[in-house]
Amino acid sequence: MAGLSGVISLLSALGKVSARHVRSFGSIGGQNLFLFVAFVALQPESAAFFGEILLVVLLFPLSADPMQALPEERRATWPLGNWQWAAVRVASLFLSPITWIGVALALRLGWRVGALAVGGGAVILLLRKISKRLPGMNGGWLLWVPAPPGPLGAIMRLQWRGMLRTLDPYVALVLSGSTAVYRFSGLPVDAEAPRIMALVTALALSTHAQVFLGIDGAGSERYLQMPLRGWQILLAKDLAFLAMLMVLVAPLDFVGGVLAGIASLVIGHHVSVLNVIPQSPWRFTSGALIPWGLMQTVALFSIGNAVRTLGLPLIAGCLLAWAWSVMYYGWKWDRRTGQ
Amino acid sequence: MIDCGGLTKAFGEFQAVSGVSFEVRAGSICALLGPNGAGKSTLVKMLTGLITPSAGTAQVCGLAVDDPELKRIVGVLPESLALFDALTVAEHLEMTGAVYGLKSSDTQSRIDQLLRVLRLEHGRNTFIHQCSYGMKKKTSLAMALLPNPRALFLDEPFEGLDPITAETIRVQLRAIAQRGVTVLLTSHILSMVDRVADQVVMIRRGEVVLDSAIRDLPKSLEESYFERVETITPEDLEWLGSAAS
Repeated sequence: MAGLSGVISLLSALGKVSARHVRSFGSIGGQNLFLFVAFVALQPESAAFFGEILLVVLLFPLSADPMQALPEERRATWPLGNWQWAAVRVASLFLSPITWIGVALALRLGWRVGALAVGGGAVILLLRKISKRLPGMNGGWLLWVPAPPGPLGAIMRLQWRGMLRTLDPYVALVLSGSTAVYRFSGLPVDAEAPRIMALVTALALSTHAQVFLGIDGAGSERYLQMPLRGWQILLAKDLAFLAMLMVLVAPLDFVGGVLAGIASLVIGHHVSVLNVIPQSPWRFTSGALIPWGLMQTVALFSIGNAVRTLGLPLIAGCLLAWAWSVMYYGWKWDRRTGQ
Repeated sequence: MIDCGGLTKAFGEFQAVSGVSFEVRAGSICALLGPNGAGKSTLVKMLTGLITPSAGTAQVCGLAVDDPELKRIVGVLPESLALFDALTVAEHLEMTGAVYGLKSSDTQSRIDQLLRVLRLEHGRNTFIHQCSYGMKKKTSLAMALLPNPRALFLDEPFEGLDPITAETIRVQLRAIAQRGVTVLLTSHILSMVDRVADQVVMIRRGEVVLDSAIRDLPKSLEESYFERVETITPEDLEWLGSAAS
């Protein structure tokens, strides 16, 4: 009985860890794209496309093995026998979020869809285990992100790295990539579709404009020690954000997408500098949805749509607003010292 | 040199530091001692311009602590280490070189030397989130040293390091102090403080209770320390050891 109670205690602890892991995905509720999807979901069939994209991206972090919560060194010190560990191993499979998602999908959409989700999760888990055994693969791909020259270049690389350790750019990539493939496949495309998808892509990335300090974690204190002014740090982070966005919207609508990004930066600076919201790696970024996320969404779509009719004056206005925002919130950034 | 007068920091009703005054000569090493929560880290943060004092004044190498130029001439090992999970050990140092405007070739040669001296070469390409605490501490320390600062502020530089690296750092600190760099450090390792510092400033509940040259202390550093802190009699955990008997 003592052995069984040990197994139950361990499974109970693993269950709590697994529940916390799932709750951490609640960050999606603070992502600007979530607001858009919630709005689109008023017409459920229109939201299915975005829902599928979110699920595909979520499959990666959700496919974590619950047993990882128990470090091997710790496991080795606990007085449990082989059969007890085997029982924990088997039972822990039912604590994996991907198992429950598979069951839910099987009940709702049929066993094939459920099996596809569980199978996808298992493949990702397997690939992750294999990659950990390969030298340089354990996060090593991030080393390929280059640093442009100069002090701002070093900050830009840091920003790119931080962004690539969240799920937002991957949703933006799937949105942009799938639209680009469809557009250039020769199939009939609505003339407005590339522009709208460029704006949705910018929207998927826009929450990052609110969390420039939040994604840096403990490192954010380092900026206070750097001999750089706030506007320089903010400008470097903006340029990194815009460079990533440019790549994503280039095959769709470059000007509209980039201007939408600038609009989200002008508004997002307020939260980034004055209200640091801590972020977790490999989750969606979570900002202040109301009112700042809402304001970003409205501004982003309005400016991205209006640029065709208003042209250069609107572009000039956006650039001026951006310059003002960088300088003003850079000054606010400098004043963060002393809080 | 470091010169502070009446430095005070209040967080709401709580006074973390109250009217602290002391002076550290250029080229000397001052150890700031005191129990946990005494106000040492708050004082270091005020002296490096990271937080604004509620009252009082302070200068480091002739610059007021709110002067933006101060950041160019001081090196800081902060309590939190302040490192980025998304960068490797070497990339932290490359970023420091770039931000301080060093030539790339100078940065690389300094990185190579620092990693060798701090016995961190094996971790050069390791991401910070995969580093041990000791590796993180060494990285943050190397970032403080790399720009060749005129003053160093080191919050617990020896804690969490192996004895050989700690001794290496002690020797390096003595050497750079002889070249004129002013060092202010905090530590709980009194044996190390005894061997590295020229001066001790002891803080208790945010106030200075001792400011003396080490050689002028009437008793050993350890005795002087315990005389000035509240000692407690630990509760006896009588159930510990019952299995053995």
